[in-house]
Amino acid sequence: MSMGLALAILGAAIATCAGIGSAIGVGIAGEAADGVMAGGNTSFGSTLVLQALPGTQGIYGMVIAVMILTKVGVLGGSGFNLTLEQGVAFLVAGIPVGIVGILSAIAQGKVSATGIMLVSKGGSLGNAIIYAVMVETYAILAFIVSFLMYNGISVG
Amino acid sequence: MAIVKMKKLSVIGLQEEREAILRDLMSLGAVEISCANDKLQDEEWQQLVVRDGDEIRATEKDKELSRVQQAIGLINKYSEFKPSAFQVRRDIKEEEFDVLRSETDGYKAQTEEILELYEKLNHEQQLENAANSQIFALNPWINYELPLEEKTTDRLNIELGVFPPNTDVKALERELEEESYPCFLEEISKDKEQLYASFYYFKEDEDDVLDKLKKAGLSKPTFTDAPGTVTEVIERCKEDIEVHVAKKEQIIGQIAEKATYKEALENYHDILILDRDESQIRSNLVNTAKAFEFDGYVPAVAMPDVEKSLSEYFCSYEFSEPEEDDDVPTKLKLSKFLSPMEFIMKLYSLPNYREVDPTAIASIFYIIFFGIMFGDVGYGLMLIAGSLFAIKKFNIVEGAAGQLMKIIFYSGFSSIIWGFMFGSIFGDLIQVTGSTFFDKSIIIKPLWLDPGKEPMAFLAFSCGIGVVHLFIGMGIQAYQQIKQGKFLDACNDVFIWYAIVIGAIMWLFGGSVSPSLPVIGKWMVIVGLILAIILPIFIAKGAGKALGLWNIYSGLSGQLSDILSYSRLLGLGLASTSIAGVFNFLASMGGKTVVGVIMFIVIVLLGHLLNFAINALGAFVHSCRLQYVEFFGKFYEGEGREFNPFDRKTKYINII
Repeated sequence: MSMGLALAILGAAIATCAGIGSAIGVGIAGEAADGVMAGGNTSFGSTLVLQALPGTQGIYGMVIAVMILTKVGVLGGSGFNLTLEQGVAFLVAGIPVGIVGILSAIAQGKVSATGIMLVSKGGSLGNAIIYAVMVETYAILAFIVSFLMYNGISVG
Repeated sequence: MAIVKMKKLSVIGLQEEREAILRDLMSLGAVEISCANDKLQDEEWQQLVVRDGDEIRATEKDKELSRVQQAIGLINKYSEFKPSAFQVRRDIKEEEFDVLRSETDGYKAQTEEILELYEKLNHEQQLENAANSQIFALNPWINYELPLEEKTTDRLNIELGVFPPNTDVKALERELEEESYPCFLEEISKDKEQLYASFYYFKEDEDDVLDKLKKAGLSKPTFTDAPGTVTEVIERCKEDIEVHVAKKEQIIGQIAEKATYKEALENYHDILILDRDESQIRSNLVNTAKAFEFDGYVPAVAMPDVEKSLSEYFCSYEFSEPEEDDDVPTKLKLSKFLSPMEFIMKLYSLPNYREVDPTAIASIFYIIFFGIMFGDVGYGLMLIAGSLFAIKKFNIVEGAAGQLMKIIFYSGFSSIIWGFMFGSIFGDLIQVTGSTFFDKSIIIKPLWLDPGKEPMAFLAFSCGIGVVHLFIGMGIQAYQQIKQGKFLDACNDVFIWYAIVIGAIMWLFGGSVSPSLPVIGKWMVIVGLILAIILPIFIAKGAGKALGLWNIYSGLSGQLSDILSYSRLLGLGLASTSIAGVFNFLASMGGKTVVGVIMFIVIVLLGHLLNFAINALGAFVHSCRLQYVEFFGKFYEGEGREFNPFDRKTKYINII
């Protein structure tokens, strides 16, 4: 296996790390959901939707990771002989979605948690979702940038 | 698509006709009666009138209402007529309803009958529970053969007691013996928590023995005393339970027989709602000794009807144009196609009475954006099937739920169209199935482009459609400003930015179309920027005159971030198709084997379900966001109050 291929795999690993943020974010929101459910008079559905929101970053990360792994031939092949430069390029392509994913999912988890409080006090679910989704914008931007980088790297 | 024109209505009438007038207005359902608080705070009014009101009757009706609801609930629970999840209201003629209204005593009796049965049922249930817990408490003692009432002989006390599970009864017996309190202890049974024992001792030793045993953890058994041996008592309890169960069934049968009351009770329920609302609305009226007065709002189109019913009474009424600072309610006038979109407007805020209603434009863009972000034929079909199923099966037509279902239907339709544009049917499921299991390479050509292969073109398209969306929003702002006579403001806020944005696009990207475009674009930007500095000097007062530079900075950064925000169309569009692709790929890794086929089916089902759920929510929320933040941010004030007419808010019957 070439050094380049190893670096590309490392890039996929970094992208997947967005899931760290999602796990923390979904966890924060879940704790808040447990808390308000204990008080009754909040619907399970509305808290579940808010809890699920910080989960998307992890999926964006996984998508970039699988796409990198496919393109370098680790998935569904035996791995191409990448040059060092190509490997570094794939590594860098994984960084935006990985790092922005971690931080934005945690921040989104906090907004979701307070959104759950808002809903439990009779606030509108729509408003709570919109506030939480404002944070996700930056994860989407990072996903786009990662994708454009990935798309620009030619292999073989 | 507009906001319905409202007229202000004031009515002064005689007390004796009040009830009839209110009843007529209620059946008309076209007048919103305003709250009288403002008037009561005004000193001139205060000297003339007092607040009308009948809170006591309203509370009474409310109480009765909850009893009827309980009775209807009981019938639904115990009879065979299962209600459908979503109610369809029965039609009843006005005259029939008047007859019903005069028969409320009978309904009340029927309600009481059912609730009485329910109380009996509860009583039987309690007795059954008591017998059950008696059996439960007696079970550990089943090997104890003496009758329970036999507690003493001439010289001995016989007792039953519970000890901690690890108690050694023989050791305890020996200890007592040594202290010269002879006592016979026998273990009857034992479980994880407790040891059950009987013991007897001389009456004269009672205090000392009990003292000693309490230290060893003695406590009383939990059953209630009853005559006979344990087995006899348990037998009796079992017989009792059978009796109670039979009685319960009998009572449930009686309640079920009352299913014939159901329609009557539902009528009664709605009559009570009307009575309660009539009593409640009276707090919005003000009274003098012989007359009453109220104000309200009427849609201009309903004016003749209101006039017709008021003219039958001896009362004075007047329609007038709402004044500048009146809190006029908003009622949207939407075509049948767009009426569900009210849901999305309400999620943000209804437009206020005095602004342009953007529902139609926002709806069309919402539908387009949803399709672009979700863009998949398969998922679109799932949305359509799901919404149709919910509408048909549960009859969700009315209310917010019905509106949401129709929005989902439109969204699904749009997703299918864009799915064909992008060539995506459950991602690339068909291609993957073909190449994995049938060794055929199937090619599905997108009608327009594949976002994964040409992301830059798609990004340009996303921002382009964003510019159109934003320009429409800014156009509405300009329209409102010009209507208020602020033409220069409209130039400063809108038209020069049209020039700057279009100019900048031509300057940066126009070169590939025609070499003259960048030059024109450059000049448009320069002229726009100069105007942006000059115009505030004419418009603003004082220090505001120097705001031009700041306007350029905030305007440029604002426009740029707004336009780039539409790149989420690319982001979510890519996400839904690429996640689908990833799941298809993972599913196909088992290859052309039996295990591979099973793995394929499982991963495809679960993966697509997950992707569908996440991206449907994402597409809905982000299409809404593009309306709320980017589009509405340009012009929208909102904060409209929904028109809430005084009408018949019935649940089961529809009076025609």
